[in-house]
Amino acid sequence: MVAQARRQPARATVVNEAAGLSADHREIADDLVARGYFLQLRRIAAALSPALGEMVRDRVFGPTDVQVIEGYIRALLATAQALSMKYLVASRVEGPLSRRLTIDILDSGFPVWQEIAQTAADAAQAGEQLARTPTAEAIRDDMVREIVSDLRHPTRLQYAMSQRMYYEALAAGGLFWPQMNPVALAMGDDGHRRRWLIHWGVYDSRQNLPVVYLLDCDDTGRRPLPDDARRWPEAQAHLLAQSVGALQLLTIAQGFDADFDTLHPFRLRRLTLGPIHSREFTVQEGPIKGVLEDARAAAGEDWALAMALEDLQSGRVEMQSAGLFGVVEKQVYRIDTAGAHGMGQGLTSAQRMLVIPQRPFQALSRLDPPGFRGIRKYVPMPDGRVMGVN
Amino acid sequence: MASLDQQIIDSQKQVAVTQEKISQVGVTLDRLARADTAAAAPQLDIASATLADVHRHTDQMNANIAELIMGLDDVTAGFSKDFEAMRSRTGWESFVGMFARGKAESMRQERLRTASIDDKLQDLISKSDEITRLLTDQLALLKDQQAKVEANLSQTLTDREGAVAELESLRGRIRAMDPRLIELENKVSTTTDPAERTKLETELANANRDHNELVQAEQVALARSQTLERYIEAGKTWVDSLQNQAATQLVLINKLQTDTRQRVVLYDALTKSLKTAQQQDVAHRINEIGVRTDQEAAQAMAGIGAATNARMADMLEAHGEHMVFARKVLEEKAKADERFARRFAAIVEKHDKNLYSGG
Repeated sequence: MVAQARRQPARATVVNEAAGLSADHREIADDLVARGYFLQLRRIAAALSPALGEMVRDRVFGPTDVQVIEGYIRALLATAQALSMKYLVASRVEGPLSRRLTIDILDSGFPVWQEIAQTAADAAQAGEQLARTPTAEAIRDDMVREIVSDLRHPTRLQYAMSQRMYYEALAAGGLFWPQMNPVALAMGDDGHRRRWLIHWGVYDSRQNLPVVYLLDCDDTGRRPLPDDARRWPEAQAHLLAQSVGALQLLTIAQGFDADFDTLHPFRLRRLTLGPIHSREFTVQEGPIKGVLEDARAAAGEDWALAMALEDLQSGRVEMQSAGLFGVVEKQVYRIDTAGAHGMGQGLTSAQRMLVIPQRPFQALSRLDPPGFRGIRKYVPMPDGRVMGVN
Repeated sequence: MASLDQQIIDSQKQVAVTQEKISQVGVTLDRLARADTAAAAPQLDIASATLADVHRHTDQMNANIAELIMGLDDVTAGFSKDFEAMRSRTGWESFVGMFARGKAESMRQERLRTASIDDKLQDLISKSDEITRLLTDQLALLKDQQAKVEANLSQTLTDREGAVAELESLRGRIRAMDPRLIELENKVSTTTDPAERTKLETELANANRDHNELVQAEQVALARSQTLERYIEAGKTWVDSLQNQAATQLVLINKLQTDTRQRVVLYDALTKSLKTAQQQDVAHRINEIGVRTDQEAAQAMAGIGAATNARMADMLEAHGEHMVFARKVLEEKAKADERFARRFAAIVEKHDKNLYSGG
């Protein structure tokens, strides 16, 4: 850990085996660079909201989906805000308190999972921690005293203050945790067949990316699912336990269908937010590298956010006998065996989207790499609107 | 983890006591530095006694924390049970398997789907955090004390320079007085005129008084210089001791952090690999079959279940990237372990012995 901390930021374009885990992890040692990184996250989040609106127009998402997704983006933003406080001056403090923000620079651009897990662990103790530390006013008083009477830069007090604000942000809540519990939204009912949009999120520990799941599900239980003290906690635990990036949607949906007789998952979508590419913070491979380098965009525009939406839909329903007299519905999913994207992936379809500011977009259209032709691009304009381009 | 919780609370108490003792030594040394006279000397003995006490205490405390860190090891060994459970059938499943292989396999699949160790990982992280906080608090105090003692020490060194200079100047003046005294004494013994003799005797008495005063002042200065010197000795020992303690804390923190990192990474990767390897094929095949007949599906499931078991080792190998990651973490862990073992050899040995006799 110590050796790693002294390491210069990794800029190697090729990940070599010998470098091991640190090859795609980068510790941001300079707090000014860390601030730049958080600023960029904020910019991207700001551009995402109009981009999602444009996606609704393109019929990629429904209006409800977008509201759900925006909720997760707000949570991500809150996490970025809390982390920015945590690392505001942390690298300037000496000793073991000195910590650095670690981000995944290869195919992620987000903080590593450990960072997110740590916020969850810290949040559990935020109350005690806040009770133990002096208030912001007291710290400010001490700062003034140290500056005026000792004529010193109050680094340690700044650190104490930043940690206080970090824990305050944690206590306020609304962050993106390693696991975001499933929430069910009512989507109408037809007799005693109710329809739910169940959504939940995880921070994928292997890709270091936030992932949002959207499950459209019919419910033939006697009580509405979120009010059912028996089924709902079980369903929630099941879904979270199966939210593994390497599992195909088919595997997840089918397992859920098999384990809950009264729940009928007819559509499952998985939205992976990211990776974020930028010249300044991450290492690129493939055509996006050329695009960003060609663009030479200023700090505000030097990024591109890729999004992947996997979709699995039920093709038909078969009745299967259960027990002596009962029958249960079983979904048989439409699996895309012909299309290029979905083949062998246990999917009905897959779609990729790219949110990319004007300058790099111009470079992208000029270079026109084949791999990006089928991807819908969303270009944030200076006036805040977003333009969808094929 | 009930006993571990208790251990953490005990260690917290112990750290509080140790911190108080350490502060006490600081205060005692401080008083000693300020004391002007030899009357302060007995305090030095108190200081050394406290020092010994602190040493005994910190040793005990560190031993406990080292135990705590190894205790975390034992607790997390429980994870391997979870992995084993994911891989094999439970007793009930085996029993069912005697009558219906498919049914047993589908029961196992269901169990696998709900298996999750995320909450355990979170628990591990927060436990480790708690211990780390304990250690960093202690480290901060040690650093703080060290800074204080060092500041005091440099002040005392200046004081002592002053004291020595004063002593030298006193001694110089005493030496300078000697010829005059001898001269006066000689004169007194050779003078016969009574008036003259009385005058000389008065002069000699005055000179002798001055001399005695100087000698007394020299003694005071000497005592002061000696006290300061002893404080400097004690202070240096204390700084050394603080440095040594700080190094111990760093070793403990390092070991704990690498341990936790390694465990979280490995356990997470392993669980996810297991889940993927065991489920993926089954889902595809079942979906292809649809629900044509129960029997067919059950047969397929049993067959695939057995096949995935055999394929699992390959799948684990296939996650090359993570294995590299794990290897690097393991290397780091080995380093931290080595440092830890060097410092806590006795405790490790005792711990291992207990483990064998107890287990």
